[in-house]
Amino acid sequence: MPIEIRNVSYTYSPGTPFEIKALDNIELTIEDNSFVAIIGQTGSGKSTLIQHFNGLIVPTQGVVEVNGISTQDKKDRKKVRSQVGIVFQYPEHQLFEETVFLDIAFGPKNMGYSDEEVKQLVENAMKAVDLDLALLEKSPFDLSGGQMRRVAMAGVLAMSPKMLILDEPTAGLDPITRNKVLNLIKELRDKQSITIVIVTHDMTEVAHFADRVVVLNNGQIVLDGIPKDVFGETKALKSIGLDVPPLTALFTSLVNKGWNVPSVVLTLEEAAKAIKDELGVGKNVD
Amino acid sequence: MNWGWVKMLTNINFGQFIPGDSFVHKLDPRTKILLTILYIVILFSARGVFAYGVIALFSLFIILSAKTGVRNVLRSVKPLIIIIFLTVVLHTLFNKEGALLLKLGPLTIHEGGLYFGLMMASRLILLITFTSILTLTTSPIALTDGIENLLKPFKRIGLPAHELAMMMTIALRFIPTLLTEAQKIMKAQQSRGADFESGNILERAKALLPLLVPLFISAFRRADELAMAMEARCYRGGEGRTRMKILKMSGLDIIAFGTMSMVGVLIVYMRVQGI
Repeated sequence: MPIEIRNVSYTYSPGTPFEIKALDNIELTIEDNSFVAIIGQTGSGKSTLIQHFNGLIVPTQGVVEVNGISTQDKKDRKKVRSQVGIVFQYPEHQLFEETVFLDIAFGPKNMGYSDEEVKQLVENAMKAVDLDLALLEKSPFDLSGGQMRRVAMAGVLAMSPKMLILDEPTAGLDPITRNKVLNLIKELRDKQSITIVIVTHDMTEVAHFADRVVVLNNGQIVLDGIPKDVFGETKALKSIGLDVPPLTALFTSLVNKGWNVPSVVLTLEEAAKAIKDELGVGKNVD
Repeated sequence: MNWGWVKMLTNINFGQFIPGDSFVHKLDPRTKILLTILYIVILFSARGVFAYGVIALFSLFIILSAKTGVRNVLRSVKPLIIIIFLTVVLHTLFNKEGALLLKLGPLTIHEGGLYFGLMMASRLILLITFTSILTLTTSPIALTDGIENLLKPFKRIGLPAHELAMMMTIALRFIPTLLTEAQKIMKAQQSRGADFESGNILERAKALLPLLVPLFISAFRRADELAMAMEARCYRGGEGRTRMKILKMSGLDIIAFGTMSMVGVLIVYMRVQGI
């Protein structure tokens, strides 16, 4: 179920003094079962772009098609929204029901599932975000921050979307909860083959999880490719106010100091191996 | 209820301050507040087409010299168009004074009714456009400063002038923030299939809950954070606080008071003479 974005531009408050062109001629296809990271500075158009994915925003120019359905038509939007779930920044701020169960059930109920199906969907969503089913009858406002965020994510997952868009899902979380949330997202892709699009500022997250990186600047796509290639463009990234992951930075400076190692390394294991090889540690031991 | 109003408020920003350096901008906020009140008194004591003509010309002169753009001034009338329209229609149809002008079945239109309807409409339009000049040319901070200053004399009878002004400043400051927040929550709930636009009144009222509950929670959270931040900076009310900008009347303010008084005298004179 690919999302196709063809020639899309979007302008906020056109025809007024507050006119802002947020997206400029975007061409992007998001393939099934991919894990795409969208990065860019604040104001580069990331949030505007992801709101196009489920028809919250309709392009001023161009076409957005989800599985062949255009988001232009109002009647199709509910269908599109059941297939493309968006988890916004600080999603715990949207909780409103008396119990966790009712809050998670809000989405599937709106989609017209029967009570029996809703119950099943809610329980599946709770399991997917690794929450104890005993929490279902509690008030969402009595939970910890990390639990609240996972309940909010479950609220989107319960609609069983084929694609999940997450806007900075780890903002404001402690390192342990943050890893937990990221691994949950990865599992959704690996086990349930849900396509993931993630907006983030954390380059280490991108390097670890994404298999494709899209870099936005001033409403235009400036780089698009696998993490290794994109992070190789250190100069281009720095010129638009972005940074490379710390490991990549380390290896770039090693290369500059004359070491014979690859300049882009994404994981610690790769890094350890590259350094060992260069120092010849493995050979001497034998 | 249509959700257009949330969009409308964020787009229009009713009475939003537009910086500039016209003489209206340069007036002391206290002068502008007092003159706006005086203007309302004058407007309501005016009788007759000519008196309204004088006030309309005067208003037009002030609006043009404030250089905030006529469009912005007219925009302030937009939310009240229905009320103005109803005023004209109701007066025209139900006020049976004066000669009969038109008869359409059971509906009759009398001269007096039409006259009163149009007078009331112009009174409302003049009122809104002129008062919008106050908020268009005065920053919210200057405005509350002015109000606080004007309310000072009432402190002796126990009126908490500073606290009132501070509350107004905070309320004004948070209107755009809460509107943005409301839009954000609406989008999040729409992504979960919430429908704010269809259904009967009861269903729509129910559909509001997923928006209002998070909005209230966030408003309380913000209030809590703000109170903490203010306390951390040792805020303890108005006692002994000095100001960065000290309000000062100038020659310009005296001229403004003089001009407005002259208009007032003229209107009263016209009323007495029955012009």
